[in-house]
Amino acid sequence: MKSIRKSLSAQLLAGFLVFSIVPVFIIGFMSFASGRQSIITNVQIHLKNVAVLKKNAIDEWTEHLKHALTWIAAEPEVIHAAQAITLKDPSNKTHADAYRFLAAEFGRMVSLGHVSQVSLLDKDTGRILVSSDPSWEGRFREKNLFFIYGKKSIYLSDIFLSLSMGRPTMVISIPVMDKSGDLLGVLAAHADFARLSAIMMERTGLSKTTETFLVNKSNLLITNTVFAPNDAFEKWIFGEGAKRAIAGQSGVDLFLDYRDVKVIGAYLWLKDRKLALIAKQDASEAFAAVTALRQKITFIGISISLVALFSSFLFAQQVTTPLLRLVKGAHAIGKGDLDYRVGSSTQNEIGILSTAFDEMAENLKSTTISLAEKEVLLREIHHRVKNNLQMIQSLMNLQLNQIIDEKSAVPLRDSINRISSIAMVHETLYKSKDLSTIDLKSYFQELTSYLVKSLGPSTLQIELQCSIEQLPMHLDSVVACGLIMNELITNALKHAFVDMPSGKIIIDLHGLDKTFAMLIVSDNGVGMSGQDRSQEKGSIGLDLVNILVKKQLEGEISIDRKSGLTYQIRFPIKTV
Amino acid sequence: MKNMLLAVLVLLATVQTGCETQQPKPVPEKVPVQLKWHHQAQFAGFYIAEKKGFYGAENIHVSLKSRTPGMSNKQVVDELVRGESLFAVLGGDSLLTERALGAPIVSIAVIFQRNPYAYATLKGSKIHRPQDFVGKKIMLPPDGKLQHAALMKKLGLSDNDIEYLPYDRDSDVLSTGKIDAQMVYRPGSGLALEDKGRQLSFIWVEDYGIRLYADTIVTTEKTIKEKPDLVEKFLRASLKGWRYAIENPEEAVAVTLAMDPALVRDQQMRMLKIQTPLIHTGEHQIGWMEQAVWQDMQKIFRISEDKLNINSAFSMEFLFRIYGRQE
Repeated sequence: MKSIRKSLSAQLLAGFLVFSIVPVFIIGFMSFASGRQSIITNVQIHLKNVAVLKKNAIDEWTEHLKHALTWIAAEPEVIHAAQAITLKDPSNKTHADAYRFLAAEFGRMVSLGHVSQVSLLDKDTGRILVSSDPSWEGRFREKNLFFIYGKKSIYLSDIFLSLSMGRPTMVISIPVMDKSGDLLGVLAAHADFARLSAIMMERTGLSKTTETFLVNKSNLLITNTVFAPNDAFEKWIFGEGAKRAIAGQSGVDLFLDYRDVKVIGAYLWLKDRKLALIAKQDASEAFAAVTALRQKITFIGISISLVALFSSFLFAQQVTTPLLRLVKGAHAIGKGDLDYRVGSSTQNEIGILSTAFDEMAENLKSTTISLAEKEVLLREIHHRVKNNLQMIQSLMNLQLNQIIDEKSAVPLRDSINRISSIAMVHETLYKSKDLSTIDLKSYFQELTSYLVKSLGPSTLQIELQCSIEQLPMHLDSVVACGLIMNELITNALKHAFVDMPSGKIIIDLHGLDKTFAMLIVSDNGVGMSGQDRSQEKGSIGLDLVNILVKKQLEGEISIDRKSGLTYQIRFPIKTV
Repeated sequence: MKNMLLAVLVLLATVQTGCETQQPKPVPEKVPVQLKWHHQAQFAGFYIAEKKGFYGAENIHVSLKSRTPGMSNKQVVDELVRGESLFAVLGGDSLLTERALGAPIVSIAVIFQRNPYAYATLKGSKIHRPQDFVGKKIMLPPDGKLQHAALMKKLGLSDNDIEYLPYDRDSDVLSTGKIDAQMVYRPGSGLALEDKGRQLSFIWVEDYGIRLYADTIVTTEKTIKEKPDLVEKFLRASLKGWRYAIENPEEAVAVTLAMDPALVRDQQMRMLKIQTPLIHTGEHQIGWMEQAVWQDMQKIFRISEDKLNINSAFSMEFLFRIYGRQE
């Protein structure tokens, strides 16, 4: 009972869950995937914009520097002073005036910010003639690219570590020329490199883990950055973004940065500056929104699943409860409680089934009642048949008492016994529980006992040995067997044990296989040597046996005369 | 489907077998290296390469030999030539001198890309530039004389205008006023003077256009010819060690101290910090060399082109292999 409930409920539940939860998860996953993609795209666009803005800020700054230097180099007073200082003898007053003017001018430039050092270099030797820092004067820069290129046009150097300054720097240089275009010297300004770090560290509108920094072509970190605030020029950057940018690529992607942390980053190769610009954000932070989205979708999915689970459970209950009532009813009716009714509260198919079940129970009940009535009737008929036969027996017994001649009495007595054997069948039948089958053992035992009692001489001690198997035999066969046994036992009692104090009669009925049965009647008497029992006059004898075997049972008989006499009758079982 | 599964299984089995039959790693080759001086932060990058397993990763077993006092450059070069050392850290000037004398040795990289020599003056001194040496007393170390002479020549100064005092490494002649300026190897004797408590200013020789390579990595032509892969492996791991040392100075000093317990942590840290801008300039990769600087050196050290073809004294081959050809 419980297993039915379990399996059906479980199957229904599982089925409904599959059909409700699987789509929830598919839809949940799809909306998560698309949400994630759009978040990533947004972050990528944002970082790309940040990178471009930073690049623009750098360009703007260097343009500003170039502009400032160009302006100074074109100033007539500066050109005049440069002319004086390069051409005139140092002891000359004009030279000294020019020196003072330029030193003041350079100092003024430094005080304005953006540059930390301005110098005028000798056009031939690269020697510093005038500088905003007098201690630099007399140093040589002839091997520096900013001097070599600065003689020709405005030049912006790569970023390098200045030995004199002890920090990274970048030099902008420009030729100072007279009106006719002849070179007078090179004006070189060290950009205040801290400005570049400041530009990259400017964090307006950036999230906690977003950082932007510059890396040079030998993977060296050029500007301080969020996660390496003091590491400009002290740290090499081998993040994927820097590697790609140094290889000349620009783009935006998901990759591992120099800390081996997964990031979304934009990388840009600044060709003019020979610098890689990286703008990146930790994936964990960028995906915080994705994580929130995932949690939300998971929550919704679980909620829907729980509702589906609960409603599936209710539905399964709705289906299985009436079914279980039906099962219970079937069990009750099976056990004979024909008054049990399932009842129905619903109008659906299960309700209809319940109603039909109750109708069936009602019909079954009335059928069973009429059957019982018929059984009583049949029992009564058997009883009456038996009573009638007994009455015939009594009448014949009365007649028998009037016959004095013993010889004339024998056939009558035989007939009485024959009728008795038939009456006994009906008696056994109406006493039995089941009217369709007869208890063979009790019938044959009763019959043989009766025969021995009524026919056996009082001096003879008869031992009866009955072995009867309950076979599903037709009533006609039972009656035939009863008559056959009546004849053979009567015969044995009359002739087999002449002059013997005791004897033994064996009755054996058993099935040979499912279709044949064997009836054996044997005695340990004198056998047939003395006289042929079948030839006795005034007796129907073995003729009747033969007829019954052949016609009624449709079997065959064999006789064994070795010790006593044994009849073996083999016949097909005609089932009820 | 079944066939596919079988194929995958066979493939896996093959891969598995492939792994099992993999050749065992050959025994690491022994690489003796002669350093330029006794153990100190000057060689921190090599110690890092050894301790961090960078050499091991290249399957070489490097032993770093400190230089015993009194061991001459000639002895170092002889050991190289005899194969007792496979590499040596040697001054660029010594390399050129020995090479001009016929030793088949070649520089494969430099450690100091900038000239580490400077003139030390007491802070507050009126001497700001070499031009101010006129009429002053200065002291030069033996290995600084030629570059000083080159600088004087370039500035048009005569030795007659300057008074030179004989070199005395140990006595504190600067603070006693016996001399006005002294040429120092900045991370060496310069640091030693500071350790004595002197407040110093430094005039870098390189600021006046005198460029030279002080610490270079040297090997023989034979090693380059016979074991080019070994040279590449050693150099790659060493340069990686240097990069790591600059990025992680605390760790670099810790491994240096482990080489010699007598070393003082603070001093080694300052040495490393002074060296850093010499080793990595921001312009070039660590170890990088320029032909122009070698040519300058030939002139500074007055080695005639008959005796020395400067291009045979250094080889860019391995730097190119490691970094690729730079612009």
